[in-house]
Amino acid sequence: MDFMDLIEMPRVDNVKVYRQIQNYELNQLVTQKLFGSLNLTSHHLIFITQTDLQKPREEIWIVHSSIDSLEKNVTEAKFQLMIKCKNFQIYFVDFPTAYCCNSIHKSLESLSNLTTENMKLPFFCQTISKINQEDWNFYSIEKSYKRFFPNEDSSEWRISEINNDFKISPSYPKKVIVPKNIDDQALIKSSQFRSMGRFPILSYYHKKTNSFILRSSQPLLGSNNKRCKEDELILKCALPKGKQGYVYDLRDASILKTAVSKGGGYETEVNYPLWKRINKHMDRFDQLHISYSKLIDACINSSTQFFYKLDTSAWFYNIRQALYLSFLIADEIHNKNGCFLIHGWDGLDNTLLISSLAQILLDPESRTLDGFIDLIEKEWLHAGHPFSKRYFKSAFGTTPQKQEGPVFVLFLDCVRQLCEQFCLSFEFNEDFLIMLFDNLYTSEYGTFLGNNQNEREQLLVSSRTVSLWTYVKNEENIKKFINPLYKINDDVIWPSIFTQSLSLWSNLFLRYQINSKPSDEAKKEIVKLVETNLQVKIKVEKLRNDLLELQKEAIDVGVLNSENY
Amino acid sequence: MKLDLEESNVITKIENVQLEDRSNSKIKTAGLLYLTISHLVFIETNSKREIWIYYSLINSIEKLPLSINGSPILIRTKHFLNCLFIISKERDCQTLVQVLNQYSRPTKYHELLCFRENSHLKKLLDSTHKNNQQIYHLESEYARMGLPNNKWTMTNLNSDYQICDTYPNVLFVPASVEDKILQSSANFRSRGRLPVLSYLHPNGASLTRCSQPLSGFNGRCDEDEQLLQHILMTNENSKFMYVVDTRPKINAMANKAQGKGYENETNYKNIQFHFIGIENIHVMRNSLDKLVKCADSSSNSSFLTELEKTEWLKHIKAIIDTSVFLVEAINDQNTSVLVHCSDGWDRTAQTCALASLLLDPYYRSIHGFQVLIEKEWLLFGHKFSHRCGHLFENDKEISPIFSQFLECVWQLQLQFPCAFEFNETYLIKLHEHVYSCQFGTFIGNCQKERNDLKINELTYSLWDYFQSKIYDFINPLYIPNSFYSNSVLRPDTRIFSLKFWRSLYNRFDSAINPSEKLIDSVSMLSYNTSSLQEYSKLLEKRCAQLKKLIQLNKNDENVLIDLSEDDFEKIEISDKNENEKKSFEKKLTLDEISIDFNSIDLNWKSTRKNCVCYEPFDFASSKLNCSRCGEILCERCVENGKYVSHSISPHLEQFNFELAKSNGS
Repeated sequence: MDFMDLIEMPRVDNVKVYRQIQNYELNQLVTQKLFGSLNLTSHHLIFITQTDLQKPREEIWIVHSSIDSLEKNVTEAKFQLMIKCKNFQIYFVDFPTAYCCNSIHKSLESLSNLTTENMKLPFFCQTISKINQEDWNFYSIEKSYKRFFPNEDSSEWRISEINNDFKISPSYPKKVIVPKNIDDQALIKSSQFRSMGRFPILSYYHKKTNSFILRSSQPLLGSNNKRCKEDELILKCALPKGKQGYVYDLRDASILKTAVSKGGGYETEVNYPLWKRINKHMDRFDQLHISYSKLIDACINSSTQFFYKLDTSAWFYNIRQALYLSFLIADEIHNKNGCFLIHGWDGLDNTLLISSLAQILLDPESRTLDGFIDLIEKEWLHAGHPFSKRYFKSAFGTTPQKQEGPVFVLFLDCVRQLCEQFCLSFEFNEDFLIMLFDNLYTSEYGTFLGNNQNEREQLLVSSRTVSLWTYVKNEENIKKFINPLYKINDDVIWPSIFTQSLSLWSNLFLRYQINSKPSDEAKKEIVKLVETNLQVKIKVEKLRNDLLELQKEAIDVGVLNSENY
Repeated sequence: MKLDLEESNVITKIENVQLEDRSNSKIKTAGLLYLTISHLVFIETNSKREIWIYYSLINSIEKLPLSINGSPILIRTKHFLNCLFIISKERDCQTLVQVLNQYSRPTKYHELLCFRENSHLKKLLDSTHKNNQQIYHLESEYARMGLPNNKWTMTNLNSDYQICDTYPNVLFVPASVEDKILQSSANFRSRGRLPVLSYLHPNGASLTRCSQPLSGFNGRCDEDEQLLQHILMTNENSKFMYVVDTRPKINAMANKAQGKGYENETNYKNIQFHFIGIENIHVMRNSLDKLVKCADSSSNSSFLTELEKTEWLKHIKAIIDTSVFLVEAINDQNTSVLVHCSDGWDRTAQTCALASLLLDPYYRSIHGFQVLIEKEWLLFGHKFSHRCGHLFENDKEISPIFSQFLECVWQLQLQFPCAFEFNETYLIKLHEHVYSCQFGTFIGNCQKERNDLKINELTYSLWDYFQSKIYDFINPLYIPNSFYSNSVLRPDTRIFSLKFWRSLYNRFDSAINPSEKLIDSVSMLSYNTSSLQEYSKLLEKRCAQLKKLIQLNKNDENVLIDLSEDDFEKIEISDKNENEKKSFEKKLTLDEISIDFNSIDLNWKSTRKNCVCYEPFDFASSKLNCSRCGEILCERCVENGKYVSHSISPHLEQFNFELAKSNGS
């Protein structure tokens, strides 16, 4: 299939575009009306205003894949298309004829819903910068292993390459960390007993207390109560003496029967005697998608009962729940003797959310820019979070398969809440999180393509697209993402999870509604203060050295009274 | 403010008291309760944490049902501290309630704290700011607006408060108007509060304020109508003026039946009349009650729905919206506005003050803000003592009108972080001391009453106290000449832009507030910079001295020269003069250099750390670094001078200097 087959009408003249823009002086939104031509290319909708003596030419570029939903409003007098983007920007386009409107609508519907990964934007954006293999290999399991176990010999854990060909578990990475005295055969057996082959693997090791987090998918108990000795052995071997194991099942206890009847299940007390099972409910990704849609709806149609709508969207409930559960885990790991196995259904969504948040609380390294990128690689990309499926649509859209769910968006929001509560403890800033959000849905970079490492390898992502980290590591860009007030905090951070302590992510969810200029001004001022401070410190250091040298010289030549020496 | 227990008059001591953690009822800390003549003091046995509560701040004392641990008593304060004490002996509990009832319910002004001897304030204010009490002059503020001029004049008609006892003794009115008209207009307005000037915009449009007319259904007053015409005429740029009644229409209608009401557009020429709809004091009081409950139930998962039900932010929005209306009329349409509500001392004060703040950057400086409060609130007779319940009397008069104004300012600070010279802590502390009765500033209901009480002679001024710790209140992000700081502020009043003021309503719930406070570390950074700048000057001076010494030595090996720091400047000018050189008597010693060298610590401790003395639980309490050792000190330790070995002075001196400058202008 060629893109051109999808474009009936590459250009329409006499088009009006309406969008809301910020009038910075009056600090309010005004509707901007633009007149010009609309052009369709393989990846972009480009609107070009008519040249006019008074106004310079203006262009609006909209990537097809950034379109979340299209609503056509064709009456006798009006031929209008409403374009809602995945980043919450909304455009209204008035066409001169119904025919144009229908034609463009049809083309955009197809172009914005392309499911063929190979046709996605990053494969056509190799020129934005050089493909850098180093950035693609920025993270490796060996890196994590070395961090968790600086001394390999005394470690009870090893790296297994059992999944090297993605056969055992297609959604797992090639290499995983497992208990040392569990052989690969046992892993195969365990994988057959776990949904999607996702057997228990090490996610995080807390050096300070030698406690850890494992994650997996649900065991396939089924109605005839199957068991798997090898799976039981993994959990038994993993747990050192004196530690209490907890299976954190992110499903409500009431739902377990249904899970069993569908062939799934849970770790029974009889077969896993050392592990205590705790059921904690988290909304599944499809429910979360509904919550997200309600949240954005509240933000856009906010005139009445805003706080009530915000409450009923349950977005804050989900943030609280996620932070609360990670808090409990961090508390057990750091202050008590708990070790954890986390899973829900397939261990692709909430499992990753909770394990990565717990690590951010526990591990100072994950609060640095590099450490955070490692965390995203390890806990989301390598762990097989289905990015392609979950972020095919944003808050305005759905697909019939209903596979979308903004779990990673919730993760970003939780991290932002933490950044706000611990404004000195994170090396990266809010803009970095917003940049990740933007690239999640539509990107010129290949990082979030596909649903797991296996798919990314098949697509040859690393040789055909540029890594998002190449963009981040660029000297000019990285400056934008650094928190100027960052001071390393070696402690575990304990967030506040009261609703009053949480805030709406205005700079993201209200980004096209509020004026960010005054707060940008404040951010710049902070950067300036930090720079001035640094300069004066350098100056003082130099003066101190000068003074010491002069003092020495003065003593040497005998002009300084050194009687106290 | 916390004092030394040794210096306070302890009436009684209660042992075996437990304080329940507000965020987790399972956590209880054991301690002792001291009742002094002015405070309730709880001292935790294990930690050194102390909680000091002024009786004057106590809002309610509630005995809860007996539990197995003893008798629980819930104390709520006006600055939103809630303490649940569990007292093991029932008799102690009765003593506590009895003492509190006796001391926390003054019925006469002279029983208030501010009239009592206060050794702590005496130490703090008399030494550093002796006789510095800033008496506010209305004339000088109007002079700043260029008044009197040919349009506006000052009248002494109210010099003895004879036409209106709740107005100031000088008033600004149109120059063309005769006293007779003013007199009659005053008679036609509720409580004599005739239309007078509040703020004059450089474009000629004015903001005037008054109370409702006593019009009833058909009543009219020729002179009052004339006065409005005179006000209209002062502004050449507009053919009409607005009269804004800030009440909901239905309230104004109800007033008609009592012989009051609003201006009839047909009687007053060229006016446009507007109702705006800010609710009355009773609605606001009830709304705050709900808000406090909502903030208090911290485990409440439906907090946002509860917040919606309080309608608090809706009221805040109404006040800001009204002020924006005034600003647009005056600034954008060059049209004068007359504002009133019922008596013109609540909603009128809120909106006139806020509109002035939006219009004029001067009011966003520390000094200007103080002037604004003095003018619109204190001099124009906002009934602080009634509204804040300073005395134990009619609680139907109590209403958070001024607090709402502070909250509006806070909402603006949030939206324009670089536009204000003062920070959030300033507003929170101001809120506290409006209620605390520790200073005379907000005591009484109008200027006349404060004069009668001899407030200026007998009490300390809050403004002096604030000046003594101005370093706590500076917004480190203030950029006076940025676009938003320099122009009319146009706040976004869409409901999602208004926030719940957590650091006020949950001020003492440390579990709810962020662990790391952004503004603290930014302040620290800017203090650190200014300290280091001072320090580098000192180092430069020493370096130059040493260089000179070495230089001189090379020139003449035999002449022994002693240099003193003070005389150093002279050397620069006359180092060729041998005789003068010999006259320097002080010696520059190694010790001196080393003292200077170590006078500052280069790596101040992060504000993440706490003061050595106690755990903070008050979100508004500030942290300061000792410039010498870099340690974090809390407000209390600094104020009490407990850590004399520490030095927080280098940057403080600078601020006192700056303030002196702004006061002088």
